[in-house]
Amino acid sequence: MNVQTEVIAYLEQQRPIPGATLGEKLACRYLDQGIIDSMGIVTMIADFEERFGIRFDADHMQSDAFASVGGLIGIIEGLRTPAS
Amino acid sequence: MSLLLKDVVVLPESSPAFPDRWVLMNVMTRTCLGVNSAVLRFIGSGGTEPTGDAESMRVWEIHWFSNGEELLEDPTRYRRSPAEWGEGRVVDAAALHSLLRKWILVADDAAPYRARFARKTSLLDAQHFGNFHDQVGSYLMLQKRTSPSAAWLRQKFTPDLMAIRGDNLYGAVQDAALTDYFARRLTGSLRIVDLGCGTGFFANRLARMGHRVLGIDPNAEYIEIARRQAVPGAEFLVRPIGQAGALEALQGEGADVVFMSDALLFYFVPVSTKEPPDLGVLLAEIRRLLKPGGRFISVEPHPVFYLAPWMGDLEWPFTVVTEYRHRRFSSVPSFGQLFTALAEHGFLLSWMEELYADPGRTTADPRAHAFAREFPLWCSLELTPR
Repeated sequence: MNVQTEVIAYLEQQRPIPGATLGEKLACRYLDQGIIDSMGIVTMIADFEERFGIRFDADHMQSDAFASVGGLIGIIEGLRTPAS
Repeated sequence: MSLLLKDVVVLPESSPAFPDRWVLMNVMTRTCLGVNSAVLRFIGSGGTEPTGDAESMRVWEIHWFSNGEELLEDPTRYRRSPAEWGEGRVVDAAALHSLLRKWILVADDAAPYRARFARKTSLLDAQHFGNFHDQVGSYLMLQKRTSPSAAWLRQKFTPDLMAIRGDNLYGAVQDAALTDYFARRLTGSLRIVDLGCGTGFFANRLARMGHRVLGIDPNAEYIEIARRQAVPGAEFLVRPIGQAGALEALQGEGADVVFMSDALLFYFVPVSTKEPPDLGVLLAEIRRLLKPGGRFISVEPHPVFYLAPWMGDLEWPFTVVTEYRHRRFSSVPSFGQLFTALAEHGFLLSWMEELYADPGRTTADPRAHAFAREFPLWCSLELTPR
């Protein structure tokens, strides 16, 4: 399961992520861009937790990284990797 | 040590059983910390003098987000009974300062602190305090993992949605006062349109009184529930209230009364950070629906006292008003904003009542009842087109 592919596909189902390159899409702050609204976040978080078998805590969700596509992907990948 | 913010008040919670208990409360952020008098002396000294008091400083982390279960639960947001405070813990100066900072009781610089009083940019925004709706939504999503919309129904209605809850302020104030109000102000057999009827509670009540009621709500799930429990004389429709043309299929000049409850406020302070819907569109529709001489009756949260903190004595409470013109925490408009906007769209106030708790009812929290007997949490407005 490729986290990056799935997260981008999920968000683009809501609204196209602006950016001509992958780097621009990863830098997109999807909340500021209105790609997903406040109520949609609830669904998105639950969906990602189930899909990737993870659990976000409040600190993750309120971090600056969580607000960008790339940052969100990084958090999910970090949570999927067992701590060594 | 940073100075205590000017927004902080000290409240006594000492009693013979629990001596030397004080609450430091930031009345703007509604964050609190329980402390003993050694802490007060230490802060009073500027927090720099190495006194013996510093060794006996004790704190209690008593803040709790009271509105997670019920939106109108104690808005002062600290554990009121010292019996629930536990033992607390002894702290040194560094630990105390950390806690004062955590609960926003001290700040190094006023400017960045004041800048935090703004709407949250999203429910994930931890930088801004946000208004009441932002805070509840953020708490429910981040801590409880539940949808905020479900909380609105749960806090007002019984689980079967057939009645207003009897154990909180919706029952003791709104249900009790409107039962009386309807009997006095809606006499005869009227044609009533209940806009934003939700699951149809008030529409059905009005129909039982002999009125013919049309309940309208944009939420199809609510209307499905309303139809299941509809009584003779009540009908229900799904329509996107507030959108241009949403009610154009309805007969004009057909209603004696258009009724709304807990709905007009969202035309001034929207739940999300988006722009509010157009009040002019709504009021034009209401004007068209009303017969000549008809009334628009709106039951709204009180512009001054709704969500005000409950302070002081259990039986003789007081409150502090921390804002009015510029709404940082409140989710309702001021009286001036409300009446000016209504007048600009051609509606004038013809009758107003402030709703208080019925002395004959009780609430699970007696402090809530005492507060609502003195301070109106809702008001009923009767408006007529000019």
